[in-house]
Amino acid sequence: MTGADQAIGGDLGQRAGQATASCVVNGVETVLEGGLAEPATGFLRRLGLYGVRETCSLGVCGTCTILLDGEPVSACILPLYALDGREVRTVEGLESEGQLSTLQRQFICSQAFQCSFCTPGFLLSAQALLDATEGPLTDEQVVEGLQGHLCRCGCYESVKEAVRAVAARRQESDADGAQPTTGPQDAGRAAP
Amino acid sequence: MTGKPDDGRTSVAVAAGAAVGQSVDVLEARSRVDGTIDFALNAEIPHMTHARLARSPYAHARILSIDVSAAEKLPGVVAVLTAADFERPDAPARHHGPVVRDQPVVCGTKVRFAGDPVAAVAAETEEIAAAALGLIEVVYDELPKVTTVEEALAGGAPLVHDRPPEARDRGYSDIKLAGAGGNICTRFQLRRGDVEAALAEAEVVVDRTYFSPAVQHVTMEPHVVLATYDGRKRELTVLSSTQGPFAVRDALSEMFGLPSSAVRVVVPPLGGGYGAKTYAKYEPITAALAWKAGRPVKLVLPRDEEFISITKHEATIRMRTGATRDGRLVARDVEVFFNGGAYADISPRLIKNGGYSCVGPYDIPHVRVDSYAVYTNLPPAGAYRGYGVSQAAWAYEQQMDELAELLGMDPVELRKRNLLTKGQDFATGETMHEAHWHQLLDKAAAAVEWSPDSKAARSAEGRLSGKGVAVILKSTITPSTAHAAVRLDADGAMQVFTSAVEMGQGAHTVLAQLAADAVGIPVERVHVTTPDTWYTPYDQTTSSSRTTRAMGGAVTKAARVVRERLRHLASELLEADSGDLVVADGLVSVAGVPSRSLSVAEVCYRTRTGSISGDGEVVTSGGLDPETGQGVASDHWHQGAASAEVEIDPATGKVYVRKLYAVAHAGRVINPKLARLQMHGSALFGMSHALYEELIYDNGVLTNPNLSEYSIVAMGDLPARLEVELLEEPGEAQIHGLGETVLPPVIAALGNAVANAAGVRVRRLPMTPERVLDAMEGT
Ligand code: FES
Ligand code: FES
Repeated sequence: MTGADQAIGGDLGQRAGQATASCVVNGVETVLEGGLAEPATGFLRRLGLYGVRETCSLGVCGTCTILLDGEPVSACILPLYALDGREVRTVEGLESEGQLSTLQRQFICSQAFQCSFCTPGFLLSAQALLDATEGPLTDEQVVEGLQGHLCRCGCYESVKEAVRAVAARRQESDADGAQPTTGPQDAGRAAP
Repeated sequence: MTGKPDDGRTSVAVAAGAAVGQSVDVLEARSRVDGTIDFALNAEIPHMTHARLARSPYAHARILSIDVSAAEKLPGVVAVLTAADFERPDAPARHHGPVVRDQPVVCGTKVRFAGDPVAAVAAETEEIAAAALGLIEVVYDELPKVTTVEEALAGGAPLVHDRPPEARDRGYSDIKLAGAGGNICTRFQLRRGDVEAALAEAEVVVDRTYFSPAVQHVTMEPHVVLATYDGRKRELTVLSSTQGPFAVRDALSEMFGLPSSAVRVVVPPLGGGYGAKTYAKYEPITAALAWKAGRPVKLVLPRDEEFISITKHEATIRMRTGATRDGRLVARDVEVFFNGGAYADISPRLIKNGGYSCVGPYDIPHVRVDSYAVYTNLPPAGAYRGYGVSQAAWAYEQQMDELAELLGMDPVELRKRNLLTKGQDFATGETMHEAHWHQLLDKAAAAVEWSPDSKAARSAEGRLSGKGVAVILKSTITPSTAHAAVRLDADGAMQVFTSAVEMGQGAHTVLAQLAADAVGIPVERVHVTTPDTWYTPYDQTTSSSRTTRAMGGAVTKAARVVRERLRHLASELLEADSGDLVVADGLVSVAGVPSRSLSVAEVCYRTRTGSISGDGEVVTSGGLDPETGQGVASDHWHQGAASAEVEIDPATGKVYVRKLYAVAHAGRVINPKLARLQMHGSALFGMSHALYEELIYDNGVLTNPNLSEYSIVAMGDLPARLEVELLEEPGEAQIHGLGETVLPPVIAALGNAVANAAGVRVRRLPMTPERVLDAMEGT
């Protein structure tokens, strides 16, 4: 807890005359603990959600993205109190019953990461994009949806490919039942 | 150390097999998409404290006094480390450095760059540590500073280091310190033929200066170190996001006066490295703080401090190239000034690579190169993806186009008349055993439909369009040493012990593929350890695009030893000569008689074998004479080319990349999916440097230490078309690293494309809209 938080009004759990602040994290009702103005990233990481990571701490790189009531937001600039009464989803909440989501599996098949430090943010924004649209996505739509995410390893092409592959397939079948496709791995090899 | 290519200690060749050549998914892929991958950032241990660093606001100043008493009294502060602590008799050394021990862990008498640490705080929380920084009182006496090479080399310039710093006792055999004096940290020179005479006789001479700015690696994961010092046992344990576990171990063991066995360095997967995490960086200060605190200390470097942690060298390269009228290069004379910042770090090696690389992949009979590492009052510069080669290539590949223009010749044709061919000598005197540049250049030119009269054109929207090509050579760290061990367990699962660091490049996956094929078991049965200097064998470094080849060779050899032992054990059981046994898919069988076979588990069970172990190594040799630059610069050469098509908006000067193509010689590709991703990453790094990135200093203070003012390439900036290609060889082939090869040519190809479109050349990176516009208006 920082001095600044105390000036604002102390710990969330200790606010006089108020019920404990809480939010739903990946489907689990969770009491908010920490300084009011503290960024939400610290709280989520203390819950063991290590998929929430900071890079720029300024709201410009997208690494720390979480879904707040389904909308991608940068947790590094989101004060903890903003989670009160909301539904939070982190990358740990993308799978269900121990099964990776279609998008997660497609990220593996398309090799949409190298170091994967940025990957949770990309996955969450891409999932929000898929949830908000229907049918196939164009390159431009994917870029628009993911423009706020930086990947220093430079995996943008394979991220685009992965998201578009999932979007394309949901036409044919229910997206969650669809199988990941393998990427164009062997294209572009040449023998002298 | 001997190093003839056939002495069995150097590289190995492999053929495509059950795993090699396949796009297998990366090991532990799941943890990378479900958030559970265990970065150093997640590390926590009991009694751990959190560190923050107090840093100098001045680029150059004498420290008159440091008062930490108020900080020490802040509740929750555990320890504050300053130079005074190093006066205790049991204290560690206060200076470190991979080549020259010139970098203070915390500054004592003076600070040499804005950001130089003067104290370190360990506290119960990071917030308390941060608050304590505000209570530390330092009185400085500002000194005149030098921030550019020009200022540093001017007569009477203030000295960054008052006395020549001490060289490290256990240096690197390839680095010879020479020519130091004033603000020159070290110099490298190459001499071949008679440059003056050849230039005097040359029919045409181009003489230009090219500039690359300082940039930062911007690993998405910052530097993270968790150090524990056990004073009773005299043992130091460090978990670090480093690319060089053994370099860190050695630095700490020297600093603390401990045997290497008492220093344990453990390295989890890294969230990106790109050179930023080579050699000791924040391990010394974190370890010293843990020593003082008597408790474990964790440091997570804040982003703004990442920007002053280590940078890519700013470089000013003056290059003169002479040629005949028909386009034969006769001479090249180069002066390379690398701005090394306040401390040497690995500059003494890097300036060597950046020096001889200025010759490019060309046959030039007369060459003179003088390459300098210059001390200035800027943050230290060090290893960076490309290692001096991208600065060199920015100069020589632009100069090739300028020369072509002067000669009225097609730039592709000019290059082809001069490219090195197999068996020719490079400027260092070493023979090029492999030369693929003609083919690489042809591919790059074809990718943008290059034709001799490729001329700038104007598009429908009034944009200017142009094309450019570039071709480069890049050395790898030489000499180098990699050791590995492999253990096949009785159930048929296998453990690869390696100190190669997994930082996203997929190193562990390709090592598993190589090990699997070399023994003959399925790749799913292979596990690769994370580096732990207590257990995993020595490896020099995970950098210089050397891991797949050097560590891959060591692992392959270790695995082949295991296979031999396995066949030997099985031969009695199968009543066959071990030479007649084959191992595939986890089964040992008699060649041609598949019915006579046993699984690994059966062989082990029936021979009461618990595990089968093997060791392997790849040790290369070489080195250059410091006076002449003659010798062996590189065990083998990375070879790449790129081409680009751009459009420039003449109203704004903005450059739009229509197409970017990059090709590298790969020999044998182990994992196409991962190899292509490395190429993509390199190409986009290059594009980002060409167009956007620059660290901007004002009075020696960095003005853009954040990701909103320092731009890196984002998804919306991608070239309309990005294509990469790998040049492979049939049959059994050598492995060539791919991590950096196409970064340098991409920058240069974009430079040439911009010049082609704009009709003028921007010799200073990055090619921002303002610079492009200024250049165009200057004509
Ligand atoms: S860390 Fe939150 S946006 Fe960059
Ligand atoms: S995969 Fe490394 S930053 Fe995106």
